Amino acid sequence: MADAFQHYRLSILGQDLMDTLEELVSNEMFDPQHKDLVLEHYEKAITEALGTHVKTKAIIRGAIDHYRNHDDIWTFFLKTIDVKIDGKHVKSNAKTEMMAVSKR
Amino acid sequence: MQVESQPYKLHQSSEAPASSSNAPVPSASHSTPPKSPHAKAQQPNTEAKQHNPNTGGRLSHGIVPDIQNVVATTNLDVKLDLKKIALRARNAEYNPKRFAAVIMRIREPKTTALIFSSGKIVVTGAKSERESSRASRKYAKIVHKLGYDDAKFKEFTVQNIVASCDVNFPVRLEGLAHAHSQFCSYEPELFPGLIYRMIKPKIVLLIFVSGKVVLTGAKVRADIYEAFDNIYHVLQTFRKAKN
Repeated sequence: MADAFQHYRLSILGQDLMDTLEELVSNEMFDPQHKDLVLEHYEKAITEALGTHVKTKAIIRGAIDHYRNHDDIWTFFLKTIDVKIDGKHVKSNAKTEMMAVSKR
Repeated sequence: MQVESQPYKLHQSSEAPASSSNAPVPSASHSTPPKSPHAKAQQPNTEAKQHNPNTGGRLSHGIVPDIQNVVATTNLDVKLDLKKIALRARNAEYNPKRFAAVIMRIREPKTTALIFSSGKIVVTGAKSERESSRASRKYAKIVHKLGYDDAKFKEFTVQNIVASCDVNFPVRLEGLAHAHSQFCSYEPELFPGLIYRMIKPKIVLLIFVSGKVVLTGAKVRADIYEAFDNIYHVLQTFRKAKN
């Protein structure tokens, strides 16, 4: 299915997982060879979970400065961003990069 | 295939019934007062006059087709690394699995370019030849700035011009298709417009019942105007009576 894109490693969950794995490896409690296996598994699992279990919808609005699409990975460079999620509303005038991956 | 020895035959044949019945043409020329003040002076006797596109026949109807799209090609004459361009330039799309060109857009003039690794670019979406040239130069400059110092600007060529307009009266497409069958393809079950392949100038027209007309296939603007001039006089004879 979805090729394992590694961008979810940058999420808090991914960062924490990587930190934990690093710690286990440096304490010699975990075989470093298995680290990548775990991360690959994590990528599959989070992609699947976000795709099937998450029902929350976000509305993202922003003024686009420019965009890029390379190998079906879209990057939107936004001048302003306005996110509505779970009744919360976040607005920012900071420059934001938004990545998106085409389905399939 | 249907090469006419006398390309203007269609006008003579279409003008003839109009002047003999003299119902549709005079009413049409009165109901569309010329927008240009010169029109009346230059053509005091519209009905009797044989249509001649070279004497500014366009002025008799005062309708000027609006150019909607200009497609042009340019050769930068330098081999390009598309991946590098896609990753560095703004508003670029590149999916080599799907299409072997970088798709790039600019906002002014609002256009889209296809940039190929051979250094050839296709610019679409411009509203005039001048805009198209200006946009092509901008794309060349963008490529130049990405490190292709020897990028040139060669062989700028307008490949196609698309225009549209409205004759402001409904048209009997069946009648037109029948009378000009050698130029027409009209299959309302497939497409609601009539496809008219004019031989001279070599222009394809889409004609709709509503009186809206799309002209395409032109390399120069004059061909669009000449083709519309030609077809306007034909369409007048196939004007649909108002219900």
